[in-house]
Amino acid sequence: MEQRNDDALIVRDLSVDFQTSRGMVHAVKGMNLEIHRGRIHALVGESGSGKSVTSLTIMNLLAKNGKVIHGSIHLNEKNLLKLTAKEKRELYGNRIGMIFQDPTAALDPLFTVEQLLLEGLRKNHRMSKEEAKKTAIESLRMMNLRDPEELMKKKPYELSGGMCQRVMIAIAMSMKPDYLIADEPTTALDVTVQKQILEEIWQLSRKERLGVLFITHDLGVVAEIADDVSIMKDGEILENGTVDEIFYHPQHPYTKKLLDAVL
Amino acid sequence: MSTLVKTEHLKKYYGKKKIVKAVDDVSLEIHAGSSMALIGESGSGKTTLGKLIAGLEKPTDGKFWFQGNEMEQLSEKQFRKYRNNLQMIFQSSNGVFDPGYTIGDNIMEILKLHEKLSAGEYEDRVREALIQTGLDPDIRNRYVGQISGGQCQRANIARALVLRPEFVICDEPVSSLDYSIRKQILHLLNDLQETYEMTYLLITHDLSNVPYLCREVAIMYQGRIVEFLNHTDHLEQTVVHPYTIDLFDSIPVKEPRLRKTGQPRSEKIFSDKIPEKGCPYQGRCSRCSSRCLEARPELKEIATGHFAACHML
Repeated sequence: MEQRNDDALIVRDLSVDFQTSRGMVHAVKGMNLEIHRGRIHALVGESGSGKSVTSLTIMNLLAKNGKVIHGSIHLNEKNLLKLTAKEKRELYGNRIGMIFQDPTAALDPLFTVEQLLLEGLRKNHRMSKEEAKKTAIESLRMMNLRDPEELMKKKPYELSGGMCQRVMIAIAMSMKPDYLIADEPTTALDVTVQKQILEEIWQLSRKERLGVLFITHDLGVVAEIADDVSIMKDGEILENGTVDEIFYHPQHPYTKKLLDAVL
Repeated sequence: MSTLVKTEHLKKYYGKKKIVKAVDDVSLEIHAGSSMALIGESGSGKTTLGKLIAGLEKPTDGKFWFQGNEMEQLSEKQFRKYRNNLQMIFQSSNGVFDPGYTIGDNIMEILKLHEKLSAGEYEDRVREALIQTGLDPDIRNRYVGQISGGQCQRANIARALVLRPEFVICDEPVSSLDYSIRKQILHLLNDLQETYEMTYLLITHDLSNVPYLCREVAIMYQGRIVEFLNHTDHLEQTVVHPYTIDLFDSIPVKEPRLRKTGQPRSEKIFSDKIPEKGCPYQGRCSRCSSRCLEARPELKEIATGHFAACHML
């Protein structure tokens, strides 16, 4: 097994451009970001500020018209932007997992929860069927889901939004990643369910030493779970700091404006 | 205050066997000039209730009155007469306008449907509605794709106001907007109510909107009203139903020092099963007793103007 050390996931001077019919769009401009294991780093900004492009670049999932102009993303000694296809397969899912805003769209409706969970475990971790099934049930249980055995037989459309989001996190976490990229994971959910999901993610960061990049536009969510915060606007990070620094001693006028807009 | 809307045992069941009880036995009164908030999570039936009152859905059972007229009894033509007095603002603002027409033409079309005026008067009314909502009247000649989300939501409100309705149902008017714009729109709705003495029914899942706009609150859970208050002062301290308390408890805090995440919690395992009998909230309630598993609690008055449906109170 590969040695796992405590190095951070480090984004350095990253710029991403998109070629569109109306010319170049500079989605991310010279961004710096550090995500540490066992901490939750919130990336905050309004729609169109470049939050999601950042996460997709980290995951090497940029659309064809998107291009990294300069910068690097390092995990230990490796630059994630210069991986071979084989290295990508080994890294993504295993070391860095991702969850998305809309769980019902991210889970293939033709497969059962069991099939969705086992696919990665069998292919990436080369587990036997029994072993994979055991790990799968364990990760469902970790998400506080009732009757995991029963749940494994269901398909995504038979589950509520909150259940789907838990299943998606369980799939990501079953691979035991060091880092999790969470792109607005609770925006589509009710507040009661949101509270539970935030609690699960917080617990994972503490118990499993998971490093989380938490993308959101909701400062209330940030106040609930973040350790570090970056405020983003128009592709640039305007302010970086711990959650206390950002909330109690905001420096940038835009951060102050955002805090004022909280209801 | 006169009663503007009244419902009695209103029900709406969906599905071939009528097993989905979207609205289940709702009786309420909305007085002219008041503003009521209808709160609930997704699937609680709040939007269906709004649609029933707006006449966009036919109830399975029960009656409802608008300005003293029983709506079931009205013919389509008579109903239309009331319809311009009763407008709905929807959540998705850019789905409301036809992208092939300008904003002004979109708004004017509704006006033409309900009122016979001259061409110049039509233009004036559209202009007036746009100005009322704080928009530049030049937006009249723009298309949906050319304006921002906040402008679009304002235009959406202008569309509802152009008929000068007495009663406006706002279904999640700010949910799709960025935080910086939410406050503006809520203040706008508030100002408009004061100026034009309109009656609001605000449908939302977001409790933080309520104090900005509403004097009365009804909390819905699985098609039923579980708690009702005729005031919104110190709401968080006043509510008594376990679901409402949980709802307040789930709102993210405003600053990190008040954080609730990571504190010891009850080991309630997550499930979303709807119980067949007894209290609908039994599966998630921390105060659930044997009585709650058997009988469904009815609304009862626990203080003046404060009703709740719970066995444990």
